[in-house]
Amino acid sequence: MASNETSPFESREMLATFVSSTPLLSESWRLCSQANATPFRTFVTERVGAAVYVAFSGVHMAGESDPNWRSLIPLDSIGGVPLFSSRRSKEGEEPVMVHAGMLNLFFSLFNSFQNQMLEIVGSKDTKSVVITGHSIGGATASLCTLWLLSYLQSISSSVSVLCITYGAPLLGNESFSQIIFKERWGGNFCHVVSKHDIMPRLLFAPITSLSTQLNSLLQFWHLSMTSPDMGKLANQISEKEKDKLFTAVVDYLETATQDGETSVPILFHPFGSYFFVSEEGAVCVDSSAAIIKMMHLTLATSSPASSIEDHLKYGDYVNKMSAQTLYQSNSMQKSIPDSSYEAGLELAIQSSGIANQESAITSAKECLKTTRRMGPSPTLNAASLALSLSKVVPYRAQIEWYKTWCEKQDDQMGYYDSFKSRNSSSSKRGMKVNINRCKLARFWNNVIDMLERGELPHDFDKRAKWVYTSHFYKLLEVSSDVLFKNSSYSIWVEDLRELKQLKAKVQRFPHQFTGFLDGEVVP
Amino acid sequence: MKNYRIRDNMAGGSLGDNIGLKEDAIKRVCGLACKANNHKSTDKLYFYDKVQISSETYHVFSFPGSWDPAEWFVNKPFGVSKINSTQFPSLRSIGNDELAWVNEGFAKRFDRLLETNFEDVVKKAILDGKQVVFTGHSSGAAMATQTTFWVLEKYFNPTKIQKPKLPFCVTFGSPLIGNHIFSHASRRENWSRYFIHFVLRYDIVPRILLAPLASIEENFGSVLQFLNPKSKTSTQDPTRAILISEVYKTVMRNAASVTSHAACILMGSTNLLLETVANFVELSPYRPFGTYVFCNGNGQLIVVENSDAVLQLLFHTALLSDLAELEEVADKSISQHLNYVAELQESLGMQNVVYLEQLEQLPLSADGSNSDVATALDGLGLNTRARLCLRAAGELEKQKRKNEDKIMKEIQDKALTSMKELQNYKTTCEMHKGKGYYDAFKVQKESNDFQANVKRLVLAGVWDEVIEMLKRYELPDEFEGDKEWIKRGTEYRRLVEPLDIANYYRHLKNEDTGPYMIRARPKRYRYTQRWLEHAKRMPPAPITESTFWAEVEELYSWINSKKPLDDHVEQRVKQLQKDLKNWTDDEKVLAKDTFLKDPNFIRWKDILPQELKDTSS
Repeated sequence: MASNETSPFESREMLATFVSSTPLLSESWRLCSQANATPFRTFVTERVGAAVYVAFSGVHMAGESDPNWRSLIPLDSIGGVPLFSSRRSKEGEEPVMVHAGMLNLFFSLFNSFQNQMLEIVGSKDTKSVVITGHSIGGATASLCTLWLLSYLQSISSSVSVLCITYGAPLLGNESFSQIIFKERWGGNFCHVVSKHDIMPRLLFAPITSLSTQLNSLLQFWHLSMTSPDMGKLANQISEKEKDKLFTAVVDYLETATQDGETSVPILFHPFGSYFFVSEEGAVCVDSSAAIIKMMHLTLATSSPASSIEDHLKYGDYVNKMSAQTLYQSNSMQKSIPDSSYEAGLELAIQSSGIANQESAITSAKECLKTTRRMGPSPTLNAASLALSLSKVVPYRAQIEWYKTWCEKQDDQMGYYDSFKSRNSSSSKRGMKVNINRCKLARFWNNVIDMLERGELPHDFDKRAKWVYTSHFYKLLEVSSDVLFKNSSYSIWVEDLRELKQLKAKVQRFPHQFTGFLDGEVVP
Repeated sequence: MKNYRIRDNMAGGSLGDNIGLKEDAIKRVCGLACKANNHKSTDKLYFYDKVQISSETYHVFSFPGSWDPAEWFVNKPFGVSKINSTQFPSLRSIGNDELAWVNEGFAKRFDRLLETNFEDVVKKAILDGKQVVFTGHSSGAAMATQTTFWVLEKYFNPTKIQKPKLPFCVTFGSPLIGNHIFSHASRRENWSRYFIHFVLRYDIVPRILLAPLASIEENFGSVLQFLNPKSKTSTQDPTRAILISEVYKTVMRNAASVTSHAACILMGSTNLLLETVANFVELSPYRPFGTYVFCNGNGQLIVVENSDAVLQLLFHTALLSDLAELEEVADKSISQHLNYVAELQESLGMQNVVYLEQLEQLPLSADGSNSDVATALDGLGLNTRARLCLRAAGELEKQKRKNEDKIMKEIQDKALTSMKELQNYKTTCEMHKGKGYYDAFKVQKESNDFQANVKRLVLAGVWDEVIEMLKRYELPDEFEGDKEWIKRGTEYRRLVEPLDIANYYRHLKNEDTGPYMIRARPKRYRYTQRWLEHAKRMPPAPITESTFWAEVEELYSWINSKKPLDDHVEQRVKQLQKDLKNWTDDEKVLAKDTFLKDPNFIRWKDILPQELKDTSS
């Protein structure tokens, strides 16, 4: 098996087809519309079978206008529940931060949400919870979902959680995005973004100078979301101002997504999966770099007026996606490549709605290609790790044997002392033991790194084989084949945390290393 | 490639030549299958005909279907239950020890069938030596399928000496009846080719069970009456079109969920959203198995054996071109179900057959090519997305074979050497030191003992990889039924497991986690033992020739601790003595030198009470 094997198929359009075929989008959008249309209610809940839907209103009539549209504040807990509790930020890493205005809005309704959620989650009838919202309601829904995921994790609940947002603005910084990825919560967020909608893209650009227009735009959207007629009551935004806003966002996105020295920093980062919808279909992307690029390419082919009106058309898109499940998509206009991957890529481009703009096609293909899963699939990675493990396990056996051998020597020294003394009669053997120990350490460090990069199956850390062997590595003295004691997931997590801490402390093996890497066994 | 049947005539050939049943026989059988559903009698569970077709004699058993909704969905959401492992011991995943799921309504109906004289009639027909065919239309096909599995196990499992002619199961418009383990098990036993399922392009019945009962419950009874050939329901019923369209839409939407979810997995999607969303929807567990023959309505027959591909085709061939034709196609989905006799009379006479093989190389577009495959794909209305799904199904099958090749290379490169060295280690211990290798390994006194431990761990790494792949069905379905792999696994278990046990009790791990056999035994030995037991159709043995050492240790520990001997312990001692005698003298899978002089065995014998000492050994 070639170690650099890439997936022969493009699956992001197929994943979008799967999501579209389920009732999740139509049900969640129905609740979003209900929440938007219900005056003075911040959210509505409804039980649908074994699932409970919670929809947050995107309308905030009395919302204060924030002069600073892009301020961020740190986020580490909600309602007394620490978020990301099993992760510690590394030294020098930017703290996790989210949009200040949206966080404050969330806190203003958190208590009533929490009370209802505790009741819902405590019910035996609840197997899953869908939290959804349109526009700013989507940001609120995301924050509620984060709280709920942390809470469910703290009580070891098996309730499934899915957050579906429609045209939600960006929420947090790069650390926020990364820590959700590391918690493996990316699969719990599905952000539906239409081709033209400017709202999910606004926070990419420094738009502080346009805050007056933004507030008017928000008012227009909010009134329109309550009912179409009320949108006419909003202060009208001139075409010139629309164009200015549109251009600012598109130009910044274009610059930000270019390679090379002209790139500009991006403050807000996407997280979870982004579900790009258009008249032609949908494509589901979970790579941050690809999401940002797709945000740019799909908007760049739009117009200022469309970018504002599209924010109000998610109902149409949801209906269309559901219907498209039943009939074949329009056949592709151009000739179809013979490669499975290339053909799948063509389908994805067509479904994202930019098939008519030749200049955008090339860029979109490139960004999807570069975020194609490189290297073997996670399952194959896990299988090859099993092979690597079988190569390093003998090293552990040699350490075990060395320990026993030391204990039987005439001088009755334990193997710690024997190792430290490095006297002439045993120095050669001790050196070999040290080499074996370093090989073991390197193997396990690699496992941790692969886990953090998402290169292993999502359930890797629950697989019995790896729970046992990682535990035995720490102990370094018991058989790995038959010991089942302490074989719970929580033990593995604890061991993994300790291994990470150890790894952080020891950047490299010093030449004059005088103790074991495992602090616990240093006498 | 061993184990994988290579078609002699790749490009074509008649359907009859390739599947083993003549066209004339299929036509006749189709007539009998549909006739069973038209029969006036409502209480007969089967029909038996002895017929002459082209100077050959056939025993044909046909089964009427059921039109009672409660017999299709016994429970929510999908009406499945665990298979009866007494009737169908092979319908399971051996190593994973996972039973198949079967439609409970169809299973209950089969149980009622066995209460009649059916078994005697079938036995007589099988032993007659002529070709036996089980057939059914609609849910009658589910009875034919279960009967065939039951007969294959009863008369054709590997332990049977007498081998009559293998029966065929031929179905027309059959609903799916069980989960993926039906496909997995039938391929492992090499029975898959005896199941031939004919499906007309739009027939709704093969798709119905992809929808959960709750989604079609309101209209399902009415639709069954439309499908019932004996029903007096008029085709002029004013509500017919609306009802049919609603059910068709719902079934197809659920089929879309099942097939796109499966396609994401085939294509290797790693997006975590896939798993999350799957937790929120009810995805049908039903899957096709066997050989499918799709009739596209233009006289062409398309033969597909890859069950992942068949699942995709069940959805993509029935898709609308646009929403405007919903009512027309929905009506076809009912009328085609009642049209198998006429359709097959025409198609089988045209000899226009295409075999979809090497799916990973299918053409992706309707490019005007005149090849048979291109014509077939166009005739089924498959667009690029559908063809990519078929390619992905072919690619997965190819990958499974690559995985097996890779493991075989591991065995040849590493495991064989380690096995030889451990065999030498065993021989050396027995011949030169006068003790068993169990004791030598347990004591770990010599450097050879350490080297043996390294070999043991290397072998564990190789076999653990096999187990990991089996858990995920990443090896060919035939793998666990392959005699060579069973042999390798058994040799490994017999030689190496005693070392694992020695290691376990050397560290006194039984005091922490309990006896080796209860929870501590690794999967690589559980799986390989199950392979052998299945091949020999033997019940699971609690103690084997590779695990008796654990029993010796436990019994020694008990007796040595001065605890009173109760009847249970006495029974265990006697059973062990009896087993050891059987393994050494009768089955000859264990050599006396392996244990008789071993100190661990001797000390156990020494502390046995006088009445339990076995003077014969």
